[in-house]
Amino acid sequence: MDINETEHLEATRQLIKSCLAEERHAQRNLYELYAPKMFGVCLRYAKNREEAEDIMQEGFVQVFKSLHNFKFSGSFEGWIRKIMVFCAIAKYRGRSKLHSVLSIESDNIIPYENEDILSRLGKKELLQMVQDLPPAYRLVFNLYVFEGLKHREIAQQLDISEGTSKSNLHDAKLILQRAVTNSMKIANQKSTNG
Amino acid sequence: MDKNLQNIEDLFRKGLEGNEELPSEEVWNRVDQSLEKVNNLKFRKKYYSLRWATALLAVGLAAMTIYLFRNESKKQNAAKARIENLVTSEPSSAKNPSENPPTPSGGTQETSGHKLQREKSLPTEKQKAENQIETGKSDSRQLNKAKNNLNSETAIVADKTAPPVNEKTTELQQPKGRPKFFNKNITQLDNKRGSSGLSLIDKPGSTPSESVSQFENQLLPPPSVTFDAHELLSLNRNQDLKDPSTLSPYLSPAKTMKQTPIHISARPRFYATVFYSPNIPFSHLRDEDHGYGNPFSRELEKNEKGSYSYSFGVGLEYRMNNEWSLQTGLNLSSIKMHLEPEKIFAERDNQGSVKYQINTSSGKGYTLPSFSTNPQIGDSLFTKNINHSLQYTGIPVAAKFYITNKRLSVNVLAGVSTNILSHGKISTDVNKGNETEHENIHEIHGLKPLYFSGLAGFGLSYNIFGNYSLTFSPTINFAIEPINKDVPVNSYPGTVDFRFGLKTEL
Repeated sequence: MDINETEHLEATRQLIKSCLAEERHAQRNLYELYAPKMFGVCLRYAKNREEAEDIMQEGFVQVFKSLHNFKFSGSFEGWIRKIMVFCAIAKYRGRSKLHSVLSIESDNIIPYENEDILSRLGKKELLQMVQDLPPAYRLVFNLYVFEGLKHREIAQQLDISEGTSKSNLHDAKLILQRAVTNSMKIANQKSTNG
Repeated sequence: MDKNLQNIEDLFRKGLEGNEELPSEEVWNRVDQSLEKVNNLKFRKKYYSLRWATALLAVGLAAMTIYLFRNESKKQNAAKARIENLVTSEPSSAKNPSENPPTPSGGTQETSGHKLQREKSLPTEKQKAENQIETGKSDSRQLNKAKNNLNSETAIVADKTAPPVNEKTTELQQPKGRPKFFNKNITQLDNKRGSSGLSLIDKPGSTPSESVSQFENQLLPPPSVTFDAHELLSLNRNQDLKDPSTLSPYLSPAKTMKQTPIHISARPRFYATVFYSPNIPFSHLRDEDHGYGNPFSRELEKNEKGSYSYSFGVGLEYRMNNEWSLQTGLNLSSIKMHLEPEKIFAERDNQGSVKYQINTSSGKGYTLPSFSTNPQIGDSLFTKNINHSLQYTGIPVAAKFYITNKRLSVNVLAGVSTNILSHGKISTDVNKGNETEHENIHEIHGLKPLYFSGLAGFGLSYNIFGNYSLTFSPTINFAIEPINKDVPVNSYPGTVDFRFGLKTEL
């Protein structure tokens, strides 16, 4: 552990203590420190910015309310992120049962290299593709790809079967693949026309 | 296909992992408001329990007071009734001695009868009194014999084992359970009565011999002796038992009793305390949900500081027993708060006039300096030295628990206080450019005319001489409801009082 990391940890510890004393300026500092990263997470789980902001607001309130439960044993950022994800899950739990809702055709998919795609498509476009996924697919895709959960864990979290989780993930990837292909086609056309 | 899908996972992981974006400022405002609500909820919960505790305390105090007063008055009435019985029965038996003529065999039989009478479980007071008088007469005849033979054991109420007639004899004849010091006083008093020749049955019209009278005084317990000793003690608890002159009329010579009306000497123990207290003010502010947008309370809490405050008044205390007392009184308190310099803006007041508005934790004040007589809404001025003071007349009701050791007593106190607003004032210096003016605002909008506060503390009292004691009692006085209403910020002020006082018995 280098000096910078130790200092950072100590600063975080002090900040948390001040937050526990309900000092509003400390709470604001903590919010500002982690808000950009957490908003990035929330955006992936939401269908638009407004919904992402709702999730983040709820998430930070939960963070401050349950700050006394943080034991300083793991990553504080990871702990906050987990709360954000739980808030996102809670938001969708109240909705209709998560199940496959679309029949995906897997034809006309042209394989592209990832580097090529990333050079042509920006983060915003990729994010938009994820946000355009049906809520169930989006949630399973995020939990599997970004949080690294197994299907069994996802099934437990979302109260669905493992099969549904696998199916949702598969469908989500097919939709995304099609979206990427379409975007690449448009990008290619633009570059050809340009 | 599978490879392509795997690529999709990697693509999005690479593309979006660690993605950062700034949310709008509105998110923090909403978080802030939510946290404020959470805090308010905590605060309300805390105060709800405090209110309940205060209400329970008040009910408990009221119940205890009622019980003690009723108990005390019952005892007094019972004692009064017994005395009246004794007094009314006494002349009839004395004036008509033939109604109960002594038997030829003399006092011995009567004395035995007396013994039997005493053994009866519930004789009436009148019978008791008559028996005592008769027994006294018969016993007095025995005294004549006893005078000739001081060692005659038969002279003492037919008790063969009884010691000779002296102080000890009298003591032994007192009911069991009577405290020793009480017996001693009774003995002293009986002796005194004997020497003065005063007796309950020694009255005009009757002709008992002096020796009989003396013997009666020695042998007979005074009428009050037949009462419960504890009752008597409670009635005379304030009096110095060593001095018979201060004892209640039950124990006073009969002549005195006839000449003076019956007086119940259960003197209530009232104390008065005058006090002065320098106070340390504090306040808790809570935003009221009136749609004013951002909470004001934190800003005010930052800007406002407690200034010199004080209170003074008179406390009236009723001591129910050695441990418990009830306290009330009247006190005037002045709470003063100081605000950091700030910019004030012209707003429309309640009458529709545009004036400069000063916000304090107590409420709003409006002012119109002479150099800015026609301001427009939104115009601003700078202020400095903003002070706002509140004066309240308080009527506390509290219970005190005492632990006394010789001259020093320690007490703990808890209760509630009703605080009536006497005056509210905001004073400040306003300036614009080179113009400066001192403003006094005597009306603070939003203040309630009355609020309730809780009291808790402890005290020391040191008896300096006679009935005078010096007292020192640090007390926390905290509002259990806001002092204002219809304002963006509800204020719960409080003070830590350091009361120095002089206490005297009334």
